[in-house]
Amino acid sequence: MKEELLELRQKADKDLKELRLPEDIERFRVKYLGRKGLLSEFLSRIPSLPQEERPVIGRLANEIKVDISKRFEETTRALGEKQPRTTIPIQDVSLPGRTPPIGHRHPLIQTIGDIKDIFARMGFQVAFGPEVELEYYNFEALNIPLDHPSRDDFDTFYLDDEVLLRSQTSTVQIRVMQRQKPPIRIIAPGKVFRPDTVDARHSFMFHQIEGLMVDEGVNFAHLKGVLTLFARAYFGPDTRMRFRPSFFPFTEPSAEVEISCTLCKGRGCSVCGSTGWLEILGAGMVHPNVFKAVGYDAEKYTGFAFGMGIERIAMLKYGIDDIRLFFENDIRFLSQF
Amino acid sequence: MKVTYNWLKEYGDSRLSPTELAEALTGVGLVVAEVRSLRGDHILEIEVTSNRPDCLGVIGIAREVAALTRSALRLPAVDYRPGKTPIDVAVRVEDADLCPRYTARVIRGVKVGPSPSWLKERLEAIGLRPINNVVDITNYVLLECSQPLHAFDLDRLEGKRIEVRRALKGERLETIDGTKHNLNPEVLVIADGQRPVAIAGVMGGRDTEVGEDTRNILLESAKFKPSTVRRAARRLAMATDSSYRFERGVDIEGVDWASKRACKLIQEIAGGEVSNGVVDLYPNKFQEVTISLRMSRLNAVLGTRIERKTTEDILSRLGLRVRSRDREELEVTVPSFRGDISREIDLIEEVARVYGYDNIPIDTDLSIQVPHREKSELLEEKVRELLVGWGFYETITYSIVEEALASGSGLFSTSEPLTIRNPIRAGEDHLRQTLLGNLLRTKKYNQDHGVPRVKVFELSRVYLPSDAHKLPEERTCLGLLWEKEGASAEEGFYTLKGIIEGILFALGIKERPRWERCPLGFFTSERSSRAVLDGEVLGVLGEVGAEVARRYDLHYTPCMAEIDFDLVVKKADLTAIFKRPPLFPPIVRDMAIVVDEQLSWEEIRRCVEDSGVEFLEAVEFFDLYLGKQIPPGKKGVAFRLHFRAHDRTLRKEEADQSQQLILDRLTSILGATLRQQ
Ligand SMILES: [Zn+2]
Repeated sequence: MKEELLELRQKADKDLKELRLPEDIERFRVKYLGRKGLLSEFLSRIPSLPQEERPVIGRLANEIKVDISKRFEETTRALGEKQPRTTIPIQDVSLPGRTPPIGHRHPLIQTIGDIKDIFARMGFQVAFGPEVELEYYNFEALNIPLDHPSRDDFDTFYLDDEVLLRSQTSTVQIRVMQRQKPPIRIIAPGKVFRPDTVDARHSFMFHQIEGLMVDEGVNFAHLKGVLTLFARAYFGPDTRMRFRPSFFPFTEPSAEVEISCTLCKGRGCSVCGSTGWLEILGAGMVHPNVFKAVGYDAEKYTGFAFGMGIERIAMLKYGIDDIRLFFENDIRFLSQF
Repeated sequence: MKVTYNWLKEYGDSRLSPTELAEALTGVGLVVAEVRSLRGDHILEIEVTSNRPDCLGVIGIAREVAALTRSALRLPAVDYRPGKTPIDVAVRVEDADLCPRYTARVIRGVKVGPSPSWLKERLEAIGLRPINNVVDITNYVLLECSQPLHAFDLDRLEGKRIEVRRALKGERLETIDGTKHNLNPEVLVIADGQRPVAIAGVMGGRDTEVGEDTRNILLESAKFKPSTVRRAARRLAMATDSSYRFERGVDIEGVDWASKRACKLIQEIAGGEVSNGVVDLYPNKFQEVTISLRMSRLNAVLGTRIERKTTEDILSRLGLRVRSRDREELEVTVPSFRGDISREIDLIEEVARVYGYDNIPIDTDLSIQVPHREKSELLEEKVRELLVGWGFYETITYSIVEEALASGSGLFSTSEPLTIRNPIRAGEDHLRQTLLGNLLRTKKYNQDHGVPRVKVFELSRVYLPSDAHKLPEERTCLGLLWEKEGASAEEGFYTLKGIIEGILFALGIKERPRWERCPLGFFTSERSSRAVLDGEVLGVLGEVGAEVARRYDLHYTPCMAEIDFDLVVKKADLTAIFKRPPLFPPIVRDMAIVVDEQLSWEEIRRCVEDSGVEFLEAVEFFDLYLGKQIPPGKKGVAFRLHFRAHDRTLRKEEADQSQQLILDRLTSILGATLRQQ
């Protein structure tokens, strides 16, 4: 009996060293440590041994079992770091998988990112400016004088007589041109604020992207070119675009830019008010007074600027019908993008 | 601005249908937002931009239509029959700068009564309530030519005098709408010999308004300084059809025409005799402006090849007088009704809009430029990627919040939050200094909408008042809120801490933040910590206190963190320099020690790292025991030591020796003992 046991231990030692694959491990476990394994079988034979041999053999057998188990565990632990542990077949491949939780970017951030990417490919650099701004940058420098009715289009939150929350990202145009000479190609996304009562279409805080390109020889045809490329890249290659005269104090000529309705493809639906067209941005050639404010020679340089509301673009893109959803941050909303 | 199709047709011969008309006007910048049919006519709702006050009257729009359709403009008759009585009112204008032109006419013996139905219908069609024939006529003429008029009951004007002057402090006036105003010298008024009878350009006074028993009328037609009217209208919180037009500027040359037009209509409809003559105070006559337009400039700005002939044609159709100097340059004289045109670029715009924006080519031939990406932008993107990957939802919340949410942790500023002077909702007027308040609000919103636990973040600005600058510091912060069902506060704490450290690691920040206890705002003092990175406050982390949770009615107390992302950007370093991985294997040893309960892991780690023992490569915490086997006041700490030699395989004895040195040091400095297994 004793010899048998020692031999068993030797064999087990040898087998342990050869363990590599999960199948081997399982086979080893069944062979030596299983309920019907060699060691169990050995232990079950002990009661039938002569009275005087029982304690000695029993102790030895137990020692060996503990020893093998311990070393089996060590070996499998070492192996387990490299290999799967079991050969038990996958019981039901149709059970749901276990996806690690995935979060979501805010749809406005995604929209800004998509727009930035397109303009980056056209050589536009991202620029930023303060949200709490001096009145000068929000108005005077943009050719919006005090006590001028054009201020009506820009209701504004004030902190004091001089400091306000910017009501448009056009402020960034001025800040960039003040510190940099042409050529300029920038895109400036950011928050803007207007004291509008909140409803499905209005929010006192929203996001805009401002674009500005200034150089010698930049003209209205380039403005049309850049915006057309953008619209096709963002809304799809079939998108049509139209420009119609408008007025902004800081551009002249100014344009309101529309794209063919993304929903009905121009046939007319409730989103586009059955016109087939959607207004998406305002644009124009930089006004000479703006160049004057930043000390550029308006004879030498020309440029265009444009601005669009991110919420509006995102609402069109995703079919969202209430602007408040962007700021409620309902997980059930956020998880859709 | 509303006009009716039939009304518009009275002034020209255009054959456009209502829809064609709407399209044509929209095409030149007079956006027709709506066309609605009404009793055999069509109402066009036109959006007139603030640079085109001339189009705030039907004639102005008719003029555009005529220019577009190359048809004639037909102006209505103004040939009233003056009577024999000479005009007998005195007018004085105190400051011609504030009132560059003032005309007065007198009509005696009118019969005030309801307007004829055509007049009533026309006013009603565009949303005005008919009052009486005289008032209706002044409104009608305003809509026709965009010149506001006012009719006074002459017999109620003290001394038959008109004075255009600044109000005196303490003067009061009740306007036609029944509002009583306290006036001040900022407000320009029309006064009689005694008192204000109208707010210039805004609204008349109740006491002198034309009513049933009015017999004699003084008809005012004037031009007031736009900014003066604007300021008065704002100060008195009144916006009228009249102030709207004066603010944008009326045609100084059209002032008298409007007066005559109204007299003609009054005579026709209300009868009476128009006194002979007019009081017309107009000291500085209008000077026509002549601007030169270079064809080369026009085409350079527009990117077009528009011919000189086309340009001349467009400008003259718009009523401008054009003279060619040579092939390159045009001399353009601007009529008084186009006050918006004063420089070359204004002319270029006129040409462009009539030429048609759709006819300007599309040019995509741009030079190549390669923008670089700002470090902050790159890092923000990277952090978003990480957090989304870790299961967080990104939020965007309002920068303007109520006071309680504005300065949650007091971490980055001890100043009072900035406030908005004109909030839209009382109480929501603070600029946030923290993102944490809004994260709680987001949490609460989701809790109320069936999502009991959330993981959210916001990467956005907070506004920290500055003593040195007029503008506050706008600091980008990263706010995090973490919850998981069944998770302990401890799990939340260490998870968020791990996330912050993971972000620092991913952004290549080598320094480790120092975490110290520091009870702050929203957090419990037992389960919160402040992080300091290289001497600067990095952020705060902790479990929301029960008090705060009660205040926001939260069912659970989430863990939150906020870090200064500008500091992260400053410290981040994404440059990578290759280092060959070690060629020789390490020897790894686990060590379990017993130390005083107050001793922090940080102190133990530093003690080990600063030991300077040979071959020590890393020390890694792996367990903390507080159990039966540990004496009271003590704790067991287990960690793993990595030893390695870089030029050969380390010998077991060498590792033994280093390990012993470390243990000795821990024993002598921190009083640690080896834990018995
Ligand atoms: Zn549509």
